[in-house]
Amino acid sequence: MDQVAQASNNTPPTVAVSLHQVSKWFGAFQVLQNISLTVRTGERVVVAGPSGSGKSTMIRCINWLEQHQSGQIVVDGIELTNSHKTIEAVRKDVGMVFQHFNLFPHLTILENCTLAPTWVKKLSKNDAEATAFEFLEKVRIADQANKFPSQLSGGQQQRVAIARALCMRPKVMLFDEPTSALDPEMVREVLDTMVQLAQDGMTMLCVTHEMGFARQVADRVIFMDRGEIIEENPPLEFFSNPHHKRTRAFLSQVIH
Amino acid sequence: MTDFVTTYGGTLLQGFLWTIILVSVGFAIGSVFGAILAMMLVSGRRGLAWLARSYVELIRNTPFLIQAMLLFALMGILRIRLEPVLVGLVAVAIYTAAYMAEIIRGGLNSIPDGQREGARALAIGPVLQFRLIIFPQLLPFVLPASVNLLATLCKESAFLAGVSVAELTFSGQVVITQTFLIFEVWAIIGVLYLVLVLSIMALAEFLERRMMWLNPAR
Repeated sequence: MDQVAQASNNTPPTVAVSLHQVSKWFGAFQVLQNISLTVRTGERVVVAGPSGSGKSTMIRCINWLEQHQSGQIVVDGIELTNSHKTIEAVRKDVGMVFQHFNLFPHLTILENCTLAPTWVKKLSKNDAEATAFEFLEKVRIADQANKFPSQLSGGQQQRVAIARALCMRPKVMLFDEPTSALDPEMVREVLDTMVQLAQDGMTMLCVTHEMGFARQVADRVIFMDRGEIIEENPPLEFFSNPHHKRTRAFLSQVIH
Repeated sequence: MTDFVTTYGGTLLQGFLWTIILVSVGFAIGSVFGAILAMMLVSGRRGLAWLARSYVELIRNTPFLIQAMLLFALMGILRIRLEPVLVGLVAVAIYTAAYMAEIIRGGLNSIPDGQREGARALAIGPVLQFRLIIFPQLLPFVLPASVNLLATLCKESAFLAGVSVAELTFSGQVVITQTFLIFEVWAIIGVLYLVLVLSIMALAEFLERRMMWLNPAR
């Protein structure tokens, strides 16, 4: 038994997401410039950078909410191409949490969580609800299952959004500024949920301005500016010894 | 009084029924075309959007009576022989399509992009997206507005008497030429329109209370 556990611990970590020389333009403006990035299974990567630096666009390319124009994106062994099958396969593997939650207002919390599992993964109603309650418990909001999103606070809604994404049992979770639209007193509860998720071993790629979160859970922090990755280091190194001038300027602005 | 009812009641009732048929069938057909026009308006393709926009503005900014007269004249020019009622029905459909296009477009625009993105991120494909996410959120917006449109159509359809469609107002004119009971007949016609429009409003209220049943995502 121990040997089995030992063996699985020793297997080299596999690649969850890789971007190779990815570029993208909005008209004449290049938002992504030859981005290369590898996220291994179980790794937590935080993406920081000033607004307009392309960090949201980059993670939105990973589940084809935006389309890259050159380069290669591989998610869990599947290369993203403009084919419905590929895109659907990748989206089943990749959960996403948005700045503005994007919960479905006409459905209850429970229905928000069971919709995709029943219609996309064809789970039975019972199985989907069991899964939903498992994750709603995890984000500590199961008691609100029969309410509608508008009846919850922003922080609660974002925790539901995290649970909804987890119900698809994704291999990777993308977070696109999950706390930026929240009132300050609600940021903590969402970050706590994300920390817990990280401790459970979820592979995470987070765009956030929460440098405390980065310090606490990130294996690596990536700094983007003007569509490029200009620095990539473990948090200790990143915060105590930023190499690039623009990284230092950014850090002095976000850390008071 | 009983004489009047037995002699002319049938004519008025027939006109009343034709008005209901004209408006309901014309509305149904027009709504389908309205939905297609709305898709064109939000398609993001310039040519298609321009075409649909021109149509909508042309119809919304000219009187219904003129549209009906032009349509009848066009039928004459093209030597197409159709029952006046059928041409009237087409006129109602043409009118409905333009207004319905705007109602549906407004509904579609009122749904934030985040709803579609949320669905896409969950691997929900375009067809299911419309059925489970967009359509249920469109209903509370489209239903009250289209009921108002239906009520307006009932009243506007009176103009079809001007192009000799045998609907309610036309049947009133017929009865008046035979009885000269001008006030009485128009009063009856007015009450019949009132009953029709109020029933539609009552139906709408009934549907709105049960809107949750129309949610295919449940």
